[in-house]
Amino acid sequence: MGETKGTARRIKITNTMLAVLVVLACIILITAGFIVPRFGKTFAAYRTARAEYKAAEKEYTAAERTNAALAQKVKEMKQMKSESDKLQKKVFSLAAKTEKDIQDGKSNKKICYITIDDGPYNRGKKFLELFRQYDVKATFFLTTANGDKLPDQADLSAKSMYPEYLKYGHTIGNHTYSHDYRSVYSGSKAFMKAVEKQEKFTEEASGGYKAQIVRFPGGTGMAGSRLGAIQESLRKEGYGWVDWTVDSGDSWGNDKVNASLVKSNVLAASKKQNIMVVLFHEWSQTTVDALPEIIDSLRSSGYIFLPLFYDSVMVEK
Amino acid sequence: MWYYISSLVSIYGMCRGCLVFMEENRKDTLQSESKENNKTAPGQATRHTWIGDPDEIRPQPMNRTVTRMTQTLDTFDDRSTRVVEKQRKEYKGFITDDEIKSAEAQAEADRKAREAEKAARETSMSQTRIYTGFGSGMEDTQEEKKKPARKFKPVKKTYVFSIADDRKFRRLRILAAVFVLILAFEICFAVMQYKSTDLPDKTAQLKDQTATLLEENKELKTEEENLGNYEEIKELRDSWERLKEQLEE
Repeated sequence: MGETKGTARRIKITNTMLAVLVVLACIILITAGFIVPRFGKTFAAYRTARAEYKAAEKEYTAAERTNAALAQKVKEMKQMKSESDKLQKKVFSLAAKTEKDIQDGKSNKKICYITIDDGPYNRGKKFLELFRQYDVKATFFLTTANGDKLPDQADLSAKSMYPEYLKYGHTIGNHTYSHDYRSVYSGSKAFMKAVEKQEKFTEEASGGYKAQIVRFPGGTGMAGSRLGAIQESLRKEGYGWVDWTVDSGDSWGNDKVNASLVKSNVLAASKKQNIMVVLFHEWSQTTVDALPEIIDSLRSSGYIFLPLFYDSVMVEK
Repeated sequence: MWYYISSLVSIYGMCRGCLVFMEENRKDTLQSESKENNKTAPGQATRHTWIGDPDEIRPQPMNRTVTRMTQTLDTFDDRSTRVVEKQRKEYKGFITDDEIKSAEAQAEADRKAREAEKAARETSMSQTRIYTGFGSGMEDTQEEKKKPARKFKPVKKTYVFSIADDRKFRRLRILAAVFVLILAFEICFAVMQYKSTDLPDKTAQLKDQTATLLEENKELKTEEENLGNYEEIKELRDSWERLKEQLEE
């Protein structure tokens, strides 16, 4: 058909190879005939399956990432908490040694234990904020005299304050359940009952915290003749008890009580004591107003602010 | 249904195209071969045209004077086979057609004589086999001549396809490419088919794993909330650290 153009080529092929090629070509053509009508449906199914898989994969990756981040955060928090607990023990151990050195005259350090009685109150949050701001740790002697509600915020539960005290490293003391002089000082059994009731309340509210230090309502002086028996009972149950060395005067209840008076009471006592246990009350706004200056003055005098602990020399056992 | 019809039509079209291509190619090949064969017609011989027997070894061209000695001397090749050099004719200028024809006729006659000699030799050799005792007479000869029945062996044949020109070769390549494309298309379809059945299982598995992870997430979040606030915990740890340093001073 017409003239040939270019070079002629010869392709040599054995009969076996030729048969194979022919069979292969037939298979390809026949299979193509079956595939073409089904292609559209298969492609649509594949696209749907692939889209679903991609979506599931994306979800899985996001969940995995969140999981990893959360796990890492929880691990770090647990580690920090563990370090915090160890450091607390170390601090109390060092504080006990420092107290002994101070008493023996081997150290010129000064320690101030700030104690806040009669809580919890809603005002307690102001104390906590203040202590956080000034990096101070204190001891709160709590009672349930008003039931499970805050006396200055009746819609709030008293139990809600307990974890707040512990969050910032403060310690909680036992100020008896009722703070009723008549009932608690009727006998050692009545006193122990009030202490144990308060202990149970503290454990429930704080998630298991044990308050090993007791403060007598009004001080040990209020126990009168029953003091020895009460102390014996406390000793038997493994409690320690502590009064105060400095009364700030915020509970004196007269018109002269103001921030300046409270401050001067505390600073005057500081000149004579290297280890102080200062009494404040959680319901006192005057104390809230006076504390910043008190803390600054005492700090500049070299005082270290610590919470009370069971092994402290100030806690009688 | 239209898919089936269209696929059948396409298959028929491809087969028809292959046949037409092969037919055209065959005609073109025949034409080109015949042209090649007619390249050297009688009357176009030159002084360099070989007039000897095509089977014969062409002697190497040598620049030497042709003498009687040269004409009659026997020469030997590398295997010591006696080579008889043909007597060369004297150079007379361009060879004429008559001389070529006579030379060809002579060569033909020589060839036939050699074939006859070869046939006679073979006959004498076969006869010699018979008479030297390899067989047992004429009857044996006939039996011996009957070869045993051969077992069926597939005969290996080699086909040679001639493609006349570049245009035909290009068409062949295009055809091969089309087949390769169809094969690739079929492989893609097979892969899609497999994935369409496999992916849903994998998706379900992935969803189960995601649900497990989400459950773990919830537990971790609860644990985190129970532990407290990250910043507050860090702050507390740092404050204890500062107190420790103050006491250690």
